[in-house]
Amino acid sequence: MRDWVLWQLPYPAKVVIGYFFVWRAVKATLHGQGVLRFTTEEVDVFKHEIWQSIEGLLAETRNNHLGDGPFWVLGGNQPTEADFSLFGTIAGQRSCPP
Amino acid sequence: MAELNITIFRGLPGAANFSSSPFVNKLHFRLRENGIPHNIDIGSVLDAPRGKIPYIKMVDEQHTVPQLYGDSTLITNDLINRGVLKDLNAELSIAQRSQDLALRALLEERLYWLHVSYPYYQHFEMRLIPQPY
Repeated sequence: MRDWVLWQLPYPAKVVIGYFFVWRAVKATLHGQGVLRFTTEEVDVFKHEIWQSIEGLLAETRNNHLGDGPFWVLGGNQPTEADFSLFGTIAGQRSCPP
Repeated sequence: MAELNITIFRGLPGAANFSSSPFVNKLHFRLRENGIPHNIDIGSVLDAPRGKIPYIKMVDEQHTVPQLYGDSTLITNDLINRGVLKDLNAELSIAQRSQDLALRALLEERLYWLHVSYPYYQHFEMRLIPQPY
């Protein structure tokens, strides 16, 4: 992942800058934000719960949708802002770093 | 409508339509879906106005030099106020708007950070030294 995010730098600079400026800063942010205070298992439970609820919401909306074609997550006829956020999340998860 | 020369900076090279950040995907898809002509560039976090990716460079009639704008939600609201993007939540009821906001907050403030934190837990068991390297 270091080679992917810091692709512009030569190798020694990648290690130094990657650790001192990126790793420690993001770790401090996550700890302050609160997420890094959980254990790995607890984070897995949270992620699982959120993804299951998204799947349930989409499945229920799709069942209520008549006909083929695109359906929108809040069940309306037009897309809303939440549809774009949902697209961003899912598309981001499906594109892996090289 | 005045001609807005929009350039979206995505932070990383990559596929034309997708990136790994959900905020980049959201903003880029919004511009594409409304048929707004825009350019794509890489940019860097250090040049971003709020230090966050994505950011946008835009020229409008009030300023002579291109201005940089941060945060994807604020950019979207700004473009809606200018009439460039359609306001998708205008026809929703109050309860539906709350649900929309709740779903967005869940994805962007909770799930996003849970995903970001993944490499920062102790996944170093396969390495020789138990330190991040």
